[in-house]
Amino acid sequence: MQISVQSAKQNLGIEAAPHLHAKLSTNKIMALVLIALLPGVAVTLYYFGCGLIWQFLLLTVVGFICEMLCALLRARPLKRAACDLSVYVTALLLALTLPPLMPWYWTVSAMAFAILIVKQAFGGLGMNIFNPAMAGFIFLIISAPGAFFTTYIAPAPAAIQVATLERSAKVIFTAEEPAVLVQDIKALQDDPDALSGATFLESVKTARKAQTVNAIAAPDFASTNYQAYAALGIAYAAGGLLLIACRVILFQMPLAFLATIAAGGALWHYLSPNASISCAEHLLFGGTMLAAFFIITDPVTNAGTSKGRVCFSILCALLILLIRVEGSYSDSVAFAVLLSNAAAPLIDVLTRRRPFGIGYKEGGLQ
Amino acid sequence: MQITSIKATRAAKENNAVDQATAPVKKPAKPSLISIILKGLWKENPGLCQLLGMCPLLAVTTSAASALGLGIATLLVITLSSLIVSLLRAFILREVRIPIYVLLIATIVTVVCFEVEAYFPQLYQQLGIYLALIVTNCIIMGRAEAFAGRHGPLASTVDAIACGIGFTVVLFILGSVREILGSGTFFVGATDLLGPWAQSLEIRLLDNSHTYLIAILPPGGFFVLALLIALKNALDNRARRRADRRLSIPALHV
Repeated sequence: MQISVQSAKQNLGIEAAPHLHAKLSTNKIMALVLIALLPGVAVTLYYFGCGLIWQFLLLTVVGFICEMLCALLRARPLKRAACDLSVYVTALLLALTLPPLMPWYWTVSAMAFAILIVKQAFGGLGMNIFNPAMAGFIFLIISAPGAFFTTYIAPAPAAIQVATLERSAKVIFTAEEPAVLVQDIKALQDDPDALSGATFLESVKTARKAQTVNAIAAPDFASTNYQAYAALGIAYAAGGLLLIACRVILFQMPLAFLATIAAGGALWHYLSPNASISCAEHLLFGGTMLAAFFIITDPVTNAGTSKGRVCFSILCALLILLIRVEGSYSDSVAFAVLLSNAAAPLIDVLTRRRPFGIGYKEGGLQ
Repeated sequence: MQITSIKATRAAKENNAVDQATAPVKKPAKPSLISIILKGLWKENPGLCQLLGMCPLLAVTTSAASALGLGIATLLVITLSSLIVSLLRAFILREVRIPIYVLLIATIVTVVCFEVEAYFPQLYQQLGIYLALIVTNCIIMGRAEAFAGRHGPLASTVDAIACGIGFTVVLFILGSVREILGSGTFFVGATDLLGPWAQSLEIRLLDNSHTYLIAILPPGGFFVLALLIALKNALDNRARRRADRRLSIPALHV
């Protein structure tokens, strides 16, 4: 008796060969990413205060509502949309990149933009061209540059004791001025007046215009002013190593990315110390470490082939350096990631694998 | 006898065929004025369906007033150019029609440009180069080429007015949404355009600290335009589905 393909699929669950079984499903990968982000979350909580928790809760609720809305509009099963963990990864990444004291309405609009327009308008999970978290971040930094400037916290050890849940909630959800809390946290540092701007990169930005980057004292990553950045870098790297060990991400990607940033930053700093910050500062400030392990490795928005993914990381790293040194925003990771996302289909075409038996030279391999 | 008759019919058929070949191409049925208006305003709206004139559509719609100003200027130019092209279409050689259209449109745009500069200097400064660039606006060229060159003056004028109004409405909606989101105001600068009575139209809707700067920047223009197009498509699809449902016979779906 002949079994038609259709009935075989329905009755026996048989698909065409090869019959491979993937251990990692999308949800398991996303759960692993969430676990790998935990060290980073812990360090952020300790040095930046409890704002992160509120931001994450807010982003999660908004993301969940947006996903449900899209599932309803597109007549998709609600249960699958509810069980999808990727939206929580987006929420956590966005919560880690946004300033912890961002007023709630900005956070809500960023997440709505990220899910509704950047993710669902292109077809939902797996179909989006651009990284939703980074697109949401850019949406905010272009829409509300002032809010970024006032709500960013200069990290200090044990900031969690000052910026408690209630105090951060007051700043985020009611219109209380964030300046007081920011000052209180800054007072925990040994040398609170070391910087002119809100963050190191912000003060570098003003110095860059005057071509006096060299005049800024090199940060000492052991001091209380900058401890947080070194700790964050280590925490993200630890999470990234977990992902590499679980084979969620290619180890070549962060390696190529960090090597390009280190080499390019060192070279640029050597050639013109007044324009570029040094190699270590490039690596530890801004979103470089988070991007290296969690953002450029997003399986949806980077290139499809392994070779292409390495090219993608190098391109992204070069763009980060270029925009960070020459651009008009203080950090450049989000912009660079979106530009490389746009280049990913082209990278796919350029790094297409040679099919077996095609393109050999005459006489075979020599 | 039979053979000759067959030959005769064959000859007649061939004659017929020759007649059809030499006869002028049969003109398409004349569209009714109502259908022309509907097409210009909704079915083939230049802003939402034909996607023509994107440059001014996105560049000047940062505020409702300048969008309306450019829309009215475009409406004026497209009406005049369509009328003149349809009147002159018997004299315009097919081979060189494009340069002649350009010449005609450029003349009209220059006149409109001077008019605006003389009577609405504020608006002239706001619109800047885009007023003079109406000459390269594809909608005007498109209507001259696709419609006015083939139809009579009345139909052409009606078509031009419908298209112009359709374009102006899209410009105005786009400008209003972007202005409300981006600067929190509505219709600022209406007095320059409409006279002192329009003072009451200028409203502040959002507080300055709650506005989305991205809406007035070019990406915001693309986003809002894309959402407007999506809205139009959704409405069209809904209407089509309803019509289908009305026509379908329920018993057949058993």
